[in-house]
Amino acid sequence: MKREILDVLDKTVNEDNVIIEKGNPNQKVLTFDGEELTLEEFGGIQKGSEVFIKNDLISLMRLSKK
Amino acid sequence: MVTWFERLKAHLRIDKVELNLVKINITSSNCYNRTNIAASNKESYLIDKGEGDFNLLWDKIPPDKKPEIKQIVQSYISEEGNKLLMGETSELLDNLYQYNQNNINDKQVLNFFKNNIPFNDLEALESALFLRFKFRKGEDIKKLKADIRSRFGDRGNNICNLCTAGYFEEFLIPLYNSSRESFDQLYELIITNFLLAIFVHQGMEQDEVKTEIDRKIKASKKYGIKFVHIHGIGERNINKIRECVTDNESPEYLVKEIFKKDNILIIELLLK
Repeated sequence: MKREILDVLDKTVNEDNVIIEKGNPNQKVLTFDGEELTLEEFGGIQKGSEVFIKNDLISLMRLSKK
Repeated sequence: MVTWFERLKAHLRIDKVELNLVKINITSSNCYNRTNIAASNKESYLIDKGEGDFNLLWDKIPPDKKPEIKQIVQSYISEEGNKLLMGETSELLDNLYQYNQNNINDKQVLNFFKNNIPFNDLEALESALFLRFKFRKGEDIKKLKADIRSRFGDRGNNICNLCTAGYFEEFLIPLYNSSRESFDQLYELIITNFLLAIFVHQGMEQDEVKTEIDRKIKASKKYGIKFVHIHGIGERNINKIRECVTDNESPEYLVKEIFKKDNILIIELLLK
């Protein structure tokens, strides 16, 4: 299902499973902390120039306090 | 102005949705047990009246309708405050919102250490307190623990173990209150697993447990700490501990079992 969601957002993954822009494979998406994100780590997305959300406890703890 | 949800309903030809919606999910038809959910005629969506969920079945949407729905979803995300989250992420985030609102005691512990420990340790402690909250409810904490370890390494793992065992409240806070100097001297040694407690885990062999006990006893004596605690969860770890620490008198310590319940054992070695 994650791949379908990424498709909705016009994103895909490269050979390293890192999420990238469909229209620009060199452009990797970034989290709040400026990190790249793999398909496994993908938790969601939020407005703010499309900030991607990592699904680990620490990222979500930070998000829950915003 | 037409909202994104009105556009979605129009596109799927849903005349009315008779429920107070809580959540809209994008999912697939094989995620559902149909017996308790009302299905639409065309089955490109399912409404769960019990939960208040509107479930968009991505695999059931005709290909020619998908581009428009993609635009609607993107329009939803472009609105301030809106998020699109995977199910497990959404669930954990909801848990965190509730936890942050309701757990006053844990907040107080965190506030106590706010200006007294490094920022990364404070973040690790914050996550460790939530992990402890889940652990005490009997929930699976494996991924949470792995997340803490992944972000903060061995140090985060130690903080997690110490937090779950209550050392922050029962040792470190009293230590700070009794002597700031002692706290500053000992904190780093405790957090880097040099002092205080041994957390026996599956990966530890018998010999390693014995070596750790000797090492901690030596370190504790050097820094004037009168005890070493040994923690084990699960039958195998408990047996390892019992084989290392006998009830016979040791010249170095007295053995006291301070907690034994539900496959958790804590032994105190009271140093002579």
